[in-house]
Amino acid sequence: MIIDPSIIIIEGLKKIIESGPEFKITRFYQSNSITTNVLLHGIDILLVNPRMSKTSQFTKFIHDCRTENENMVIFALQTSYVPMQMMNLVDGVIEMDDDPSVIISKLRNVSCKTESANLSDNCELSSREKEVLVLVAKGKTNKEIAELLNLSVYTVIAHRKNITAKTNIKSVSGLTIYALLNNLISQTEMN
Amino acid sequence: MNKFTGRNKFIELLNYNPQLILMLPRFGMKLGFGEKRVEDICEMNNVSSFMFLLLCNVYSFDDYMPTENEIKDIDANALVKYLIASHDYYLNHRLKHIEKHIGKIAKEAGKIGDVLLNFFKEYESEIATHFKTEEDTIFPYLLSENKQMIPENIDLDTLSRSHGNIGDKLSDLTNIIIKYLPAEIMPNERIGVWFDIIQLSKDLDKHTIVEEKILMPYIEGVKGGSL
Repeated sequence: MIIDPSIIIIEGLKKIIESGPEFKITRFYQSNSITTNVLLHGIDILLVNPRMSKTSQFTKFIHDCRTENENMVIFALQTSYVPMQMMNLVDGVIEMDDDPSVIISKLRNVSCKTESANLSDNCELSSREKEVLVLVAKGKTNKEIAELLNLSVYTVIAHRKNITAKTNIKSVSGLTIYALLNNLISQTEMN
Repeated sequence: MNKFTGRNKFIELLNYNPQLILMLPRFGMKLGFGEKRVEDICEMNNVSSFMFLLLCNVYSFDDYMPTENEIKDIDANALVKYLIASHDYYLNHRLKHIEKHIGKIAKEAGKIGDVLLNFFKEYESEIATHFKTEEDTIFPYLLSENKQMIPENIDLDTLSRSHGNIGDKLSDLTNIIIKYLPAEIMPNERIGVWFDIIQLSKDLDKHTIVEEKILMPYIEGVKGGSL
């Protein structure tokens, strides 16, 4: 998602970024203010021009983004001087004189980081993830799973995120089907 | 900014964005429009060309944002009629069609088939509930005479979030159908239904954008007293 007051910048960035086949600009806002209703759902990478807002507004906005998706990667689009305080809130900066290849590699670097944190080779589930998946499919809550496997709730959540990243399935009922199809649980266990 | 005008022929709109064919039944308009311009087709069908173009533009151009004046000029009755027709199309046509094909696949898939079909039915009932919430809360409000007070049961944030959840399930379904079901189960049927679901999912995304760019600003405008 891109937020910038200039349609020239938005369209230019869109063209450059979408030349990388793994990126798709799903939404953009041509706006002078980030206080307008911005729909954050489903956004992995955000490019936002902080020039448009006061530090307090910007801080709150970044906080909202991280609340919606704590793994969201946020880049500042730097078209003019931006205070260090704001720059420290974001994961990277795209400058106006960056070459297209530089922009793509900046985006690839961060998306690699988020993926390598999440994914091991071949997108196969680890045995721990399979255990978590089976319990999710049986309808257990994160807290129950944590107790059963002697893990912290935080770790369970991290496993669940990895499972979704590897399978591309988000809903519990979708994950249940995945577990059944891969013989991780049997139909009788489900009943 | 690109946008269509009443002087464009409807066929030009369709050539640009074939999805716009869906606008016709939603506005109660008929096929067989020949080479007529949008304004003429609208007049023949007694449809406001302003509303028709507003919807076509939001549907077709990602960067198109209705101006405040356009939001002000919205005919709430026409908007509600359009949204209800869209809901009807999703529930009674597209989802029924997809259900029929998933049913066929499910039959071949043995025990797992029942689970797959249930997953789809669960999705169907979630989306039906979402539409019903809109139809029971937002639409009567839009059709009411006095719009100054927004009823408490209208929660735009929750509605917007549930759009997201609905999209997630549809995406899960496409993954299950082509990536995870055993290869030998009805491959052609699966490819066909996969395309149908992708198409539905694109259309539902646009439906969400219509609500985000037209419906919500309209309600916000009424609330803020500017309309």
